Amino acid sequence: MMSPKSASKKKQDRDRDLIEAINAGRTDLFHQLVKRYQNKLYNFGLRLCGNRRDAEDMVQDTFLNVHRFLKNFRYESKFKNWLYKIASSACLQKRRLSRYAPEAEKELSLDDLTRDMDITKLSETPQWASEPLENVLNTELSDHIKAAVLDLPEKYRLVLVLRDIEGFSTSETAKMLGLTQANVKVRLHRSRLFLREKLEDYFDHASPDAS
Amino acid sequence: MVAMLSDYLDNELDETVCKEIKRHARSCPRCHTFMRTLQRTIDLCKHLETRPLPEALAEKIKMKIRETSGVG
Repeated sequence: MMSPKSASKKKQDRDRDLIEAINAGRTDLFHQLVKRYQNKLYNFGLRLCGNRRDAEDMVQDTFLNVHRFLKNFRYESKFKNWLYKIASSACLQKRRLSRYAPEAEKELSLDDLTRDMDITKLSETPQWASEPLENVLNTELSDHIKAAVLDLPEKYRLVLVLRDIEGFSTSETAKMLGLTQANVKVRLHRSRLFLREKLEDYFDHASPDAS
Repeated sequence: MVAMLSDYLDNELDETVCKEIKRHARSCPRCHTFMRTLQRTIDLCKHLETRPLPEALAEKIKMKIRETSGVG
């Protein structure tokens, strides 16, 4: 018998009805599932792999794997989490085989990320952090952040993308990556500090009036 | 304090620690600014521009799935 907890999990999964229909024989509905996630997954791939070709391959491989294994999906997590778990593995595999892959997995140290905090810069909140978001975010900045995300060592990047870009919770991210929640938090915090520093540099150099 | 900022911004700290951090940030411009810039970093990540999946790839996926299942 299903526990109340797993029953509520099932209820929360917005994809459940569609998946049940597909698994009951309406295989023609699979494309609806693809449509629902194809853009999200593609952007997830771009953030992680860093190039269109790998991102496209990852999206294709992920949907083919999902199609193959959907019958075995048991709602132990939300479908979306299962999908991203498959996509994350595909990205990591692509990235490792890619010529764009970094040579070594760096560690980000909290000391390094906070040692050079410039007190004069921090004396008042810069414009980029005080103005409304829509006044600050443009295509150039968006591209700059995407590039900075790709500069993150892989294990940090994966956590940051899942948590801050895709919006998964700490617990969901931990389950997807097989990490402890404490580990996810440490990686996320260091990734954010890394990006914060990159943004500060960007605005310092973008315009003398920007900060 | 810097080590706890992400947990603070994610509301993952207990109330006493939160109050402590809030109180400190009010009297320390450096930490206040650091917190604001970190929060803005998180917000910017959440609002990055996205691209649609190329139409040709969407078609290719559809075809491949049709090939493997015999239906589309």
